[in-house]
Amino acid sequence: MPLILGQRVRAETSGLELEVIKKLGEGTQGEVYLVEGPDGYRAVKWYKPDQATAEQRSAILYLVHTGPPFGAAGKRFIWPRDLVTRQGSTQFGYLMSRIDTRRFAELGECWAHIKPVPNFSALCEISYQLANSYRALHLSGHCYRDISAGNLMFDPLSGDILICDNDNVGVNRQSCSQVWGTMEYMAPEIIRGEKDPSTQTDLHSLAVLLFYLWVWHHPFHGEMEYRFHCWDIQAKKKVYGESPVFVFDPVTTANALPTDPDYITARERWEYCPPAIRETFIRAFTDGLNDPDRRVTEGEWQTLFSRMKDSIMTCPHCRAENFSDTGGDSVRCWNCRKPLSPPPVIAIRRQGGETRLSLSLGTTIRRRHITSSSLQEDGSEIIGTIVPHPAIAGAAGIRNNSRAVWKCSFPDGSTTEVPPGRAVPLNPGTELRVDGVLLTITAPQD
Amino acid sequence: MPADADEFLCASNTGLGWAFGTSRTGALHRKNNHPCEDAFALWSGSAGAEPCIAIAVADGHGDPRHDQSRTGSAIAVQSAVEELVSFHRMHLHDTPRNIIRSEFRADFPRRVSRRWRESVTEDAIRRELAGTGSKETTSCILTRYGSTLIAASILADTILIGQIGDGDILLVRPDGTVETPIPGDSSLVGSETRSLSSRDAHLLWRTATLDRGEGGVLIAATDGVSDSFDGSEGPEFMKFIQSLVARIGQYGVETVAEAMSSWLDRYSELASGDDMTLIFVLVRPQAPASGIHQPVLQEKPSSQWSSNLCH
Amino acid sequence: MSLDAFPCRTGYLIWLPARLNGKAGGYTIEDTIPIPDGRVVRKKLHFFWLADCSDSMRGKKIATLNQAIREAVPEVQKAVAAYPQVEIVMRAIKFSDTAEWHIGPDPVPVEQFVWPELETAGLTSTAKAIRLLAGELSIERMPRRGLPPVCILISDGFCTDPHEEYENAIAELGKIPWGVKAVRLAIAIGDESDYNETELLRFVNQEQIGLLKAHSPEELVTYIKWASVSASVASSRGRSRDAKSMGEVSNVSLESPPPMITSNTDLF
Repeated sequence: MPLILGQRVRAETSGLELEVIKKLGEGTQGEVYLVEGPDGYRAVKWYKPDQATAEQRSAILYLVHTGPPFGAAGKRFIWPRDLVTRQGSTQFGYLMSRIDTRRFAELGECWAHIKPVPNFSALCEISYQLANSYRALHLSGHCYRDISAGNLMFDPLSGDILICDNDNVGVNRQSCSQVWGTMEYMAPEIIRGEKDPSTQTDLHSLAVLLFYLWVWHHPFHGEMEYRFHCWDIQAKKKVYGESPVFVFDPVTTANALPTDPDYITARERWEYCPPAIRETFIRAFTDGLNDPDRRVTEGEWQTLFSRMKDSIMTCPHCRAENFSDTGGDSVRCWNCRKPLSPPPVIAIRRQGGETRLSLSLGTTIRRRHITSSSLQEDGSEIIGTIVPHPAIAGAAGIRNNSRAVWKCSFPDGSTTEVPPGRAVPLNPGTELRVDGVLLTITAPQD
Repeated sequence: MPADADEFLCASNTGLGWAFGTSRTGALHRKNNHPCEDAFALWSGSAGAEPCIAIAVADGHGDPRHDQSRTGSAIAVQSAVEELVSFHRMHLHDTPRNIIRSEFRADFPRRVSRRWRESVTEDAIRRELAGTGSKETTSCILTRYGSTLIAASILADTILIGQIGDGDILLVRPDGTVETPIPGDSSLVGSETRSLSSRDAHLLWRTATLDRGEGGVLIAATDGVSDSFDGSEGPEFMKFIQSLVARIGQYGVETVAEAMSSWLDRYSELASGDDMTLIFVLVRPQAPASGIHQPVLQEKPSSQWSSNLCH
Repeated sequence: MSLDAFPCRTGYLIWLPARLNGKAGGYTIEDTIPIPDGRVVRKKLHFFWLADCSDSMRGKKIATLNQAIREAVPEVQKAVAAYPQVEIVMRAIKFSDTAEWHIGPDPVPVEQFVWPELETAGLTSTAKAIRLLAGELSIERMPRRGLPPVCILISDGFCTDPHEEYENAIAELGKIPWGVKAVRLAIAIGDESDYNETELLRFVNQEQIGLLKAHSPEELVTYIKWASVSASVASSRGRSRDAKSMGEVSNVSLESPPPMITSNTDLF
């Protein structure tokens, strides 16, 4: 029984009365409604009768009491805040925050060109935040079980993400759920019935989702999938479960991409990925395919995308974004094919090692470059930005966007302090001390 | 008009509903001796006693670059129906509803685009239009057959919908509310549209799944229809849709089906001049889950609507 | 499971229950039930005249222009009679010191379009006229699925607005989808040394036609008639001839950004 406009529902734990304003959408398990309460507008997911079981109800109550994962990563989960019921009905739902669907997009909307396609730096940010969020979830002892493109929303311009449909989150290896997950994302051992969902099966789903984000294609859709005339459950079990093979597996080419026009985009987008990302995907879908212990961990994905984002530079000829970190090979712009000379770089020396950040106009230095990411702080806070020099044509500088004063020493030996809001020119050899960390401006290496 | 309602009802899958469609050459096309580039297909049947209705509507692009789009649209509706029926067959018995829906959204666009491409390529080879099969030639061939496509199937408890390119598909519920499951694409202008021949056609599809629930009238039409009014989102078009459903309630579905062709001709004459295709499906309300058999309806299909739809 | 296909009278394959197929062939249509509600709307073709009424147009030139447009309008009407689904709605922008609506901002159906006498005075603010036009061609103000608009620019002299203003106006036109799809033509009046051919050509987006040069009153009348009629007919044919519209990505090409390194040490 769906909810009707104007009906009143009740949030159980807080006791708040909410009024149904309008239906926002429909999912496979229930409908989502806009509701109004004393705190303003929120959203309610209301389960269909066959989904409103006792197990689901206790699962929701558990999530409501446990709360989302800790810290900044936790804020990206649209978490069940309260159980919602209606008088006279055995159905129930849960209360959550609203999503600004003008700003946030689903991957399918980007494919259909309904929303803008994220550029490389947004894509790195989305990938980083995804890995970071699931790491936080897993560290809190939970597994997601239903990672898919349908649960991910992102801002294509900034790369910020939101993870929805968290009602299927369960305790690692303990709870069962009535939702099986979408087969495309399920780890082979689950499809084969050998194991239950766990944080390790989540790692496989995460890798599939990241592959979809970068390559716009499923990692196992190659010759095998192409040859199946009847794409039924049996066929899927075979391709995803019994004998999955990565389409870009360097050794086993049995499942390579067919020469059908359908697959052109996948080939192209794979080529646009820098070698480091390609290698990690290959590892995820060869070593990690059947051996859950060898899967790429969230921490590794996080480090990878953080490093990739730091290496983004703009092509001087056509302004397209490119990755400058290619492991030594000379780089050609993917768009105009002209050779790219290395950009100026900031070398950041920290306790964990050295990070190198490629500089272009608009590049931002983030909190995570300075301090190693703790779950508490939001590593995406902007510390500094590369801005054009107002007086010297063509030159740029780093503006202090933090609240602390930086100490700066120039190549000629002079020192100065950079208060918040001021910018220091990109003079090679200049050293900056930000929160005890040394940043060195380095000229492009030819 | 058939004399006996019983005779009429026995023939179709009355558990689900009743579908009718018509396709008319546009007034402008007739004037210029240009053939109609629209096509539609209806299929009704069942597998394992589970009935299914599948519908498809396609609009070939029609300009000199798309000189084979008449065949392209015919192939499109055929591919859609075959793929929908195939999907139905693969998901009989015991597949949970949410799995059916998510699998449809994940697989249908890819499968139907592929089926269309294969059929078009076959057609091109048979008619000796194709070259040696290099990548460039293939995409040129496909472009010549370019078409939009709207496909939908009505199953026991779900209505599955997919669309690539323009055209409209709406569901008018018994209480009069109009659901537009596929929102319009505001990024395109003029007569631009997404096409089955686009390189990334499988990514350009938009899909939706609806509850069959109380049923209603599902209407699928090519853009020639909404263009005769004030566009897909315009109030005049909405008025047309709602009053069309009201006419069904007042006069019965067969009468409306008979009159539809002349109405479409008239709109084409007066307004858009374009080819027009319209399918409407009377979707019966979902049977209650209790499993009690529905008594065989003796009255004509129209009467169940009359009390609800007269505005 | 077999799919039974029945050919029907329109020649396409329809899979239908047998009963319905028998019915479709055998009955006459009685138009006894009222047509559904909903007002039909013909496709609108937005037509814009951009007329130079600067000082230099005084005398013979402006008289010919007024006359020519008055003669052209009925010809346009006749030409589009072959496309009854099309309704032409016209507006006119006049520009001298500034750009203003001569007829507008509301469009007038061509059957009711009357050209008031255009008087001359002042400079030649072509850029402002183009900006006014671009404002009207925005997505919000144009019908979503309309026909390509027709824009005819008629001028006899150099644009007196700053060069950059003119370039920006042309760029604005090139950025909006309807600006790109419009059929844009320009007619230059008088001696070739009196106007800037390159400048006027920037407005034109039909390369095969180029700039129409009217050296005499007769030529002006002919060109105005020809341009307005052909553009209207071309637009009425409906389907976009734009080859780029199938979802391809266009490349951006801008000038190279600067290298960013400096040896300066001053904070800013």
